[in-house]
Amino acid sequence: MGRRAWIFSGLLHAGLITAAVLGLPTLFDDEPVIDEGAVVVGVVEIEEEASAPEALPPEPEPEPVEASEPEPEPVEVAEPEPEPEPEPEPEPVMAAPPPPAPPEPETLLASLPETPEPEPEPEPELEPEPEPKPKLVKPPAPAPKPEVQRIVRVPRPMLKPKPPKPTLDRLLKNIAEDEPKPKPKRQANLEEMLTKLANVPEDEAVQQSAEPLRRLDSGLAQTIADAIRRKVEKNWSVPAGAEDAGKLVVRIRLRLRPDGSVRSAEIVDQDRLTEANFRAMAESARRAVRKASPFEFLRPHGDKYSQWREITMTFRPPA
Amino acid sequence: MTDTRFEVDERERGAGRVIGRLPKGCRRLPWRLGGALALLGALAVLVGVVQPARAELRIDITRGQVEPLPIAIADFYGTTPETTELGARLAAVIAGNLERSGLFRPIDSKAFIQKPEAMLVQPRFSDWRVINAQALVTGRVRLDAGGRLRVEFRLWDVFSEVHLLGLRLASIEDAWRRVGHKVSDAIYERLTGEKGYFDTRIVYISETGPANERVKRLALMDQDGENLRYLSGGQHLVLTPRFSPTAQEITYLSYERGQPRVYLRNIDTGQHEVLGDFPGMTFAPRFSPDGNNVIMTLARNGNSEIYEMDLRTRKIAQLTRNPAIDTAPSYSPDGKDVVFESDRGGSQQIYVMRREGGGARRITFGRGRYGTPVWSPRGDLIAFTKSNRGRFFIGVIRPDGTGERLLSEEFLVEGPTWAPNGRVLMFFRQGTRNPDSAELVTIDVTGHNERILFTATAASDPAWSPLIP
Repeated sequence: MGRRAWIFSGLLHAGLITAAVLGLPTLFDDEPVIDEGAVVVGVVEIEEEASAPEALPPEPEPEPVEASEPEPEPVEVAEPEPEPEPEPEPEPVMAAPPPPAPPEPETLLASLPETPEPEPEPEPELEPEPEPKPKLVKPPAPAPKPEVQRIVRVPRPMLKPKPPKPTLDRLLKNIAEDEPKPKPKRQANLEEMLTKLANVPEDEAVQQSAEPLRRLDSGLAQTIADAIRRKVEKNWSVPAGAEDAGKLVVRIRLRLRPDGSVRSAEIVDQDRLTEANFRAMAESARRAVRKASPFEFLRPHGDKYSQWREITMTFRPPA
Repeated sequence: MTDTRFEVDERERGAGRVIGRLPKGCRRLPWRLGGALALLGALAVLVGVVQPARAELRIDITRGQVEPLPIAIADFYGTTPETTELGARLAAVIAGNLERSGLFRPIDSKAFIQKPEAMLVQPRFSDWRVINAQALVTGRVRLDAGGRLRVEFRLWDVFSEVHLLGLRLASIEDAWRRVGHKVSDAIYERLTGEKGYFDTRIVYISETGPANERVKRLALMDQDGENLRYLSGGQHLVLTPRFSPTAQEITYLSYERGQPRVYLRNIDTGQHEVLGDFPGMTFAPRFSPDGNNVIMTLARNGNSEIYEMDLRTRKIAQLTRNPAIDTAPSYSPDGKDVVFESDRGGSQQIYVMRREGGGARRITFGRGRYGTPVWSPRGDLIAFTKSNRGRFFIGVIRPDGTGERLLSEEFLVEGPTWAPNGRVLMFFRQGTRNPDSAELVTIDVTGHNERILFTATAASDPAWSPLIP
């Protein structure tokens, strides 16, 4: 732009500013002043039981218009839940301590109590599961997999000390210096595809591990542990990229029923649940366990129930 | 046709991934062998610690899926046609936000079995497990007699059958999108453990017109691209807008007075003023984390130095004193340090110094030039632009100079800015020489989930606001 333009614009704006100073309406900035007060969104926490209609005081809600539609809320309190699942678990609706009702969500979030998940009956079903084997895992394709069996036995001795390199870690692009990087978008997609594909052999591994399960007695616990672990890993959606994820080690105490389903899954470090990061990680771990339930391949091993009825799982998020 | 070959190839690589420790050459192994090795590796590496007999079993879980969390967001329930419509739109806003984050996968509502009105008390979790939803959002909308919008929502953990969060929000009806953003933030925070960033805005430079008469205007929109408005008319060139910590003001560069000068502007009133009365030109401004200061560069006699202005007293402090070019300053979130670019070492690199000046140490040492550093609001990373051999990169590095990662590359990528939770970066990208191709892009700090944010015009120089108070 030419110098004249600058001068012109300078003059114009000097005028503009003068106008603004004198309190005249501005010429170019035609945006209306927004009454911020009106836009503010008020947030209040509500507790779970608040959904019971009587606990929602500020809702007289006569709503006469909809006479035909009688606001189903009051009816549903009990909700008989005719679920087909034979889940006798009482799992009482948690009675949350009355919140001090501060207005800020953060404080409120922290105050939300964890479901205690009390354990009921002292499991009388200890008796040898009558359940026969047919319910076992999918028919193990028997023929072409000799390698697999060998594999199952071989590696056991050198197991423990290897915390495997986390998947996520590899997903994070750690690009060296001047490495001519391919298009990042494509790479990301590819990596995602690879992750999915990576699960394929693992699935197979889970299924096949059921076979040794039947035969091996020594080291049964080991084999069981493998199978359970693989199924849980498949079902664990790790909250990715959390700050200091490596420190968010979560222990879940798991109690199983003789049929391999999860009776209870408790977060061990309850006192850390006030940390939002930890809580999110812990809940993701609990979800993984619940989602992985039932561990149907345990059913044939009811006689060893005492060995697997209680499990402590340690979830170590990739750093 | 090529299908088969492709599949084999992928499986091979997939197998390589499982073991992870195999050298690269193993990718060339035939699938069978690769698969066998994969299984061997998987079993060898992954088996947890087991305690025998009577003691409880112990299992270590060290990896999971990095797929987005499947979440069901039911339309918020309304009793009138108006509120029913509003409830559907709220659900759409929330689903859009969560989906864009890359961490969630909202499930198509066509798959939903249970209807919103059936869930006013408690959802039937089995209905949601069937469609594999791990989290579920339910809610309701009302408009009270005064026309005030009242929204209530709950977040449920479907597999654990636990109520995770319940919030009630109130606002004017026109602000319904903001309500949706606040709900999104609450869900995001509850499920990831980190603050959300959806109730935020973006200010950027809207570009139109031919290259020799480019019109650049300050534009403001919501984080999702909605509610666009222009803050300036385009008579003067404007550049590098930056938000104050209250998101109510911006500081930016304008040629309003002929020379480039740093301005301060109130977003809602439009009032603006030049900052300081300097002999040279001022540019590259940013607010301090407490909002009381603006840091900027003053160029005089061919030398650029960094200055800080106290907005209350208007006093100026010079932070660098060096014959080299020092510019592009950005505060650490605790306000104790400043990161900036300088060519004092011969090439343009990034340095960190104390807030009061002095103690500068270089943190980048790679080939090429490094510039426009921006400290993450989380404090753990510094984003930068790098250019090398005619290509541009957006990258991040830790403040101690370790862990450099490049996230994006293009003919031109510039101007990184952080979402307030420090997890997502935005920058602008120009794929060709044509400046009309300039667009805004977001990317997760992990390098995933790169997305274009649609704008009405070509767009550059974005700045992400803090969470709106």
